[in-house]
Amino acid sequence: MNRILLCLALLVFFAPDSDAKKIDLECDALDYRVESQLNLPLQEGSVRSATYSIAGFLNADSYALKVTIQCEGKAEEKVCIAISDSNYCPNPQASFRIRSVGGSDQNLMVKNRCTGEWAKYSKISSIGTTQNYLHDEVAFQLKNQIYSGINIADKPILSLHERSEDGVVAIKVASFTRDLWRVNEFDPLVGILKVNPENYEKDEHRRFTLNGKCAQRNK
Amino acid sequence: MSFKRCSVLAITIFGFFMELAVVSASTEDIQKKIDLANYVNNNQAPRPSIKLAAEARELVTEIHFRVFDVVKEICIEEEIKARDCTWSARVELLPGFQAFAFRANEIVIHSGLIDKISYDDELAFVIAHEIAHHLYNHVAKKRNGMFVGAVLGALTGAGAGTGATIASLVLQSKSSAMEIRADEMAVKIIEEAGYDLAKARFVLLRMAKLDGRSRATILESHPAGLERLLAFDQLVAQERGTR
Repeated sequence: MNRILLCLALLVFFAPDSDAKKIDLECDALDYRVESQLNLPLQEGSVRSATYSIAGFLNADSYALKVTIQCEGKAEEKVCIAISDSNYCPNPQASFRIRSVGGSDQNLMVKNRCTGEWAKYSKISSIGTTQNYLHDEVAFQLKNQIYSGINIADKPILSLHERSEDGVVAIKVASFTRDLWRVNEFDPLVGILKVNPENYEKDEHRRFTLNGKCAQRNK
Repeated sequence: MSFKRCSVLAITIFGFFMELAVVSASTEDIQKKIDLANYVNNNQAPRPSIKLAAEARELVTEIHFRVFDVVKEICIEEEIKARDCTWSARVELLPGFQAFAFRANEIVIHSGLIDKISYDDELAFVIAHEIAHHLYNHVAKKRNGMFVGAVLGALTGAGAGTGATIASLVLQSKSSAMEIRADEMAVKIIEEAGYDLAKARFVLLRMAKLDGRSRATILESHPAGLERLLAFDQLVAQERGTR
């Protein structure tokens, strides 16, 4: 009997801490601004339009499916203006949730604040204390080189920073960049990833970055 | 060179120069459009609610009567005959964001438009706009223009089809001006009827988002959504300035 109790005590003591990497966050919808003038670069917090892919994170009541671009003026005075259409979110919320699946932080479930649906995000890299996630379907497509037809520019990377002492986690939603695709050092895809996002990832007119913060949910 | 080819060439050259004139808008106008585009992209009209067909018809009837009380006075002032100053407004169960003036005295509003707005003031603006088309006799002017074009085409040997095309192009270039004029009258009517212009403006914001264009080409019948919103703001400012 004593041996059994001793074994149980040892098992409990040395068991992996399953809650250590457990994530359950409530995040404020991210504030943003639509920059209509295509000639101007996107500043931090600006997007070209609140597309369906990012509307789940944004403080918006609607999302855009169509963007119309028309130019005014001539030569150096030429200015191009983008106007997005507007589709109402079916179930808009003031915040969205992020939670891990099981005890690991490899996969996250993110609740879309526009539709109220959950979507799976997979970890694509861990750089310092920052964990980067990509929508699982997109990550699968990239991994398996089913890249044809993906508008990768619209698929955001969700980055979670380390939790601060007051329990707040800073998050970043940004457009995909290839340097964040590091599944591990020996991943053969790092070198041969055929998606070629250079044309936009270095383009300050297309690349967006939005910052926000999340709080640990009270159980 | 045949007359038909000549006319096609003339239209192309005319269109090119008119397009050039439109593109070379002043810097001030462009800045106004950029500001308005930022406004359209960053603001949302209130969420609408789907209405039952009976509710939509009732709403149209109620607003039509209220607007008509003002229009009646205009008809008396302008000495328009009583028989030219009555209209029937009906709702068609179609999903489009559309309304139009039709025949001599009919107004048709698609239920899709009524479902996509949230204030009575927005619908009042739409109805008043279509009434204004009738008051200015725009429907008949367009119809007559098409007829004259077809006859001219037939007489000059270019064919009725070419004549109708030329007439259609000329009329479309005038059509944008007709739309702005109808908006001008609609602003006066609904303000007189006690509707809120700020709420009515939302219908143009919705249109600007749906339309997406910042400017219409010379051959388009309606001004772009952004141009119309800009014109509305100017009309309201003028209207308030004269009071």
